[in-house]
Amino acid sequence: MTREDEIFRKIEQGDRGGLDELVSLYYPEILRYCRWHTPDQAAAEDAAQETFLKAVRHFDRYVHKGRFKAFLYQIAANTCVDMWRRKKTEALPEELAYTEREFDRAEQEADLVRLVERLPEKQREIVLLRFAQDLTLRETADVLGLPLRTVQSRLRAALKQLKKILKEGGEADAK
Amino acid sequence: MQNNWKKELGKALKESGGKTDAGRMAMTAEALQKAYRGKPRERIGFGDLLLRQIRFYGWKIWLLQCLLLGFLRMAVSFAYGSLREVNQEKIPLLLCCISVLIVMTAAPFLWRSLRYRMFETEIATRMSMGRLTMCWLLLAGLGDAAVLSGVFWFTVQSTSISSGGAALYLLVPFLLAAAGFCCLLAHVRPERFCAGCAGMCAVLLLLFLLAGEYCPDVYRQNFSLGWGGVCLCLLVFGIRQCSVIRRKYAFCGMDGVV
Repeated sequence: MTREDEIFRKIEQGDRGGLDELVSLYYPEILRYCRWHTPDQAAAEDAAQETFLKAVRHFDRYVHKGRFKAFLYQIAANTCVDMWRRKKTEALPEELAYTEREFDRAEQEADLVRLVERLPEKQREIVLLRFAQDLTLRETADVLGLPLRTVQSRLRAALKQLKKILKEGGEADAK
Repeated sequence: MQNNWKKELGKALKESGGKTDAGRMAMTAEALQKAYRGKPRERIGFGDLLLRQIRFYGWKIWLLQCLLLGFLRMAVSFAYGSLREVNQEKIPLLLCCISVLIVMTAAPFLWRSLRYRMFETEIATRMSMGRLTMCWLLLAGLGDAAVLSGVFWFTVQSTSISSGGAALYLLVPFLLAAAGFCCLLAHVRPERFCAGCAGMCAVLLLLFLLAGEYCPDVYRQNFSLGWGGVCLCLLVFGIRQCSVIRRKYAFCGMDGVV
């Protein structure tokens, strides 16, 4: 039995501690995911909280079969899209999500992150879920509602592109 | 070397994601407790769900079926004046076509709901997508049964075709199309389902037309034990496909995603 299964058994039995455990298990990674899809830390925290609240509101329609994580990520993705849509009416500058973050990282890491940010949206999402969130390919496919093979091919294409740019960068540096 | 840059990529992405504020996490947990306490725990049975689905889905498909029937009635009136004037040899072909088209009326709604998981699912469902899909199929089947009964009654009243013949030419194509429909739903990806249905419908109609042209004896049959066996086989096949659909769409908690 996984930790997630235990938590759900607790919740089913009416043990409220299960909810706290659920938050401590998934909050950090959901927050990190929301951070990628919102303009700032505060918005990401709001989105993460809203994600958990929505999940709880829809608990009675969720049948636990060990895929709560994918369920949560789908809610998070939709919540971020909704928040972003609301924010758009406030006339935000273009590419805000990727240009106004207070980057405080080492040069090389920043380069890698920027490279990922420049990928096409569909590929970027897969790279983020796979490498930033450590989801398996199957979980990534569940979150995005795509066939496994599509996820595999998009990830392969994204990595190929990243590798190519990195290689070209390295050669340019050597020259 | 191969995986080093991937590890670095993962590390860089993780570090760029920001830190978790323990205070905010505690606030989230507290909000969750409040939301959970105030939440009514409603569970509904299959019958209730079926009734609720009439509001979201049933009326639309029934309306489309009535519209299709009305359109066909108008087309016959426009072309021949009344059903009595239609060449009686063509009536079985007409019945076959009606049966197939009636089955296909459910396709666009099912496709849309499965593909986009529409809000009616969110609002009404307290059960798995598999059972919900069964619910939709049942509603579509009820509409089909009502429409085909009407067509059967009207045909027997207005034409010289026997009740056994009318039943045969409505039932066999209907079961054939319905079994194909369920098979597509069970084995084809939702985004290709609608195109698959359109293709199957076109192939069946073409086959019926060609049968009328090259093998007219097909349309001079009456309901017999052999045809009863064919219907039974199609029914069993359809039911088997329904159980596959139920399993396929019992989509582990992803149903009604917010």
